[in-house]
Amino acid sequence: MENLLHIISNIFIVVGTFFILIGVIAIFKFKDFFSRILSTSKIDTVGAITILSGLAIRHGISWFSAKTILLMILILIINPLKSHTLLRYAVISGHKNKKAKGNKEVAK
Amino acid sequence: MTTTIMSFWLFCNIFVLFQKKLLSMILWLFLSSIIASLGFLFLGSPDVAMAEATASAFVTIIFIVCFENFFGIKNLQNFIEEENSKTRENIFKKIILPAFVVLCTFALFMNFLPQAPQDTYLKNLYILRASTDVGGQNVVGAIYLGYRVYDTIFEALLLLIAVVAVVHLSHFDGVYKKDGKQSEVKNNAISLFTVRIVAPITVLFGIYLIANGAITAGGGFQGGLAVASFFICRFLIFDIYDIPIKKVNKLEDTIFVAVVIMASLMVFHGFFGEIPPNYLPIAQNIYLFIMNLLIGIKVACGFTILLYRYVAIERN
Amino acid sequence: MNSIELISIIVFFLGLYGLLTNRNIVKTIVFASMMEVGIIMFWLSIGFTEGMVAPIVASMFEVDNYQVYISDPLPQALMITAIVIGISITAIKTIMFITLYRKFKTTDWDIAKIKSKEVSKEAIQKG
Repeated sequence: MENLLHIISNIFIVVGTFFILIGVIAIFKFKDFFSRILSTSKIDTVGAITILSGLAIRHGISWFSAKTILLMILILIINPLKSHTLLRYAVISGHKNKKAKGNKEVAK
Repeated sequence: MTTTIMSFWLFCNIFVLFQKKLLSMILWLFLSSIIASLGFLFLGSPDVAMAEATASAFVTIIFIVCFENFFGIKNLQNFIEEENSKTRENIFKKIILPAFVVLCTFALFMNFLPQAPQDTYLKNLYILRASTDVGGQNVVGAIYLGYRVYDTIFEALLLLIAVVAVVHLSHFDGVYKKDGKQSEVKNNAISLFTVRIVAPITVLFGIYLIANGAITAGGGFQGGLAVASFFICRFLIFDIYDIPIKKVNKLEDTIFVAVVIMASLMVFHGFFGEIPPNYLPIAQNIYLFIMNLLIGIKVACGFTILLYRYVAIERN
Repeated sequence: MNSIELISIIVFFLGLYGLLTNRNIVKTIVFASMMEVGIIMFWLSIGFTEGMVAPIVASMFEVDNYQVYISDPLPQALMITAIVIGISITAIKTIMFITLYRKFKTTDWDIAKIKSKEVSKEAIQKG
């Protein structure tokens, strides 16, 4: 039974690391600020939650898993606040995307 | 593995030198402080890691919010050197000579580092005797509340002096709002809803850290910083400025006097376990709990006043 | 001589070099706080081996025969106070910079030096 829990938790952690890697590559590929925030929000939600649930599965039912689940709930609550605040204050302070070559309008 | 993480920290600090804008320098410094906090955890000290994590956030808030309120939001990105000064004529005085001085001191310092393996007599003494001499199970807490309590007293005094300096050097020409209502709420529903859930959890976590400082990792300093972050949230997100600053200042002063009195009672009577009559462990635990509580309240009050004066510095 | 000791010494001297060669006043404040992080890391890395454990007594008795290496508690107690002192000193520095900016309207070391000399000359002439 313990071996099975170990194998499942290893799969979760590897999948989570893979998602984080894809998100980090996307940050370097996007060219404007507002698209990069989408990618960071994805990293925080998907990556952190899969890795933490992998850790919780590894230790079975114990106080450690309860603390990990509490951390996951806090991350889920705080993540929208972070993205919203960043975007809103970027717009308020007047950040604009640069004109791409083919576009005729400035994206706001 | 620790060495690879610390090499990331080194590269992060090197990148601070090569930035041109002030804002990106501040953000790279914040990143380096957070990686250092993780490194402290690998070096076996969770107390210092907790304190450094909140300290890095406070320093960044002091830089960015203070300058944003002072210079305006749009000028912060372009806040570089002035255009009228001439710099390239003093290249020897400004760049070559300091580099030479720094290299010489570095070489001198490296020459005098000790090479022999260290003696661990004092460390073993502290770990074996802290719980019977001072009480509790956290050896670090026993050291800064029992063996080295003078350091704590002078640190509290220095924080008090910093608060006095900041209050007197910053002008505030407006009126303190005393009615407690929300003065100008400039945020919308998402921020208000989320912060109303997260803020009580923060305060609860801070009180948990203060109260359990004698048993697990934690203590007065870390819990005080966590409680102060709740009040800072109130200024930054809700825009409420109704805290009576003069009463908080007086509270901080009286708590400092109480800290000195409690500490001198312990120091001049001797440690509890050694000098007869032998005190019960309950007296030791009560002393540790009360000292942690007083230090926690003092640190929280001090940082609240500091950040309040920064945010309210130019409100006309 | 640890590898982490060496890294933290390099960070300290990088901060010192940056502090000496900048024209902007705010950037010197940023480098000063970088020096503090370097010093704290140096203190805590003095007796370093892989896999150290925190010095909490209850968790130590669970381990058989003290086979785990326990970290030194004395530098940790000193560095906690050092971190709090560092924040308050950074606060004082920025407040002093704001006062200086209000008076001289500049963020450059050289221009502020010239203007302060003019102010002291006027004060001497007036008596």
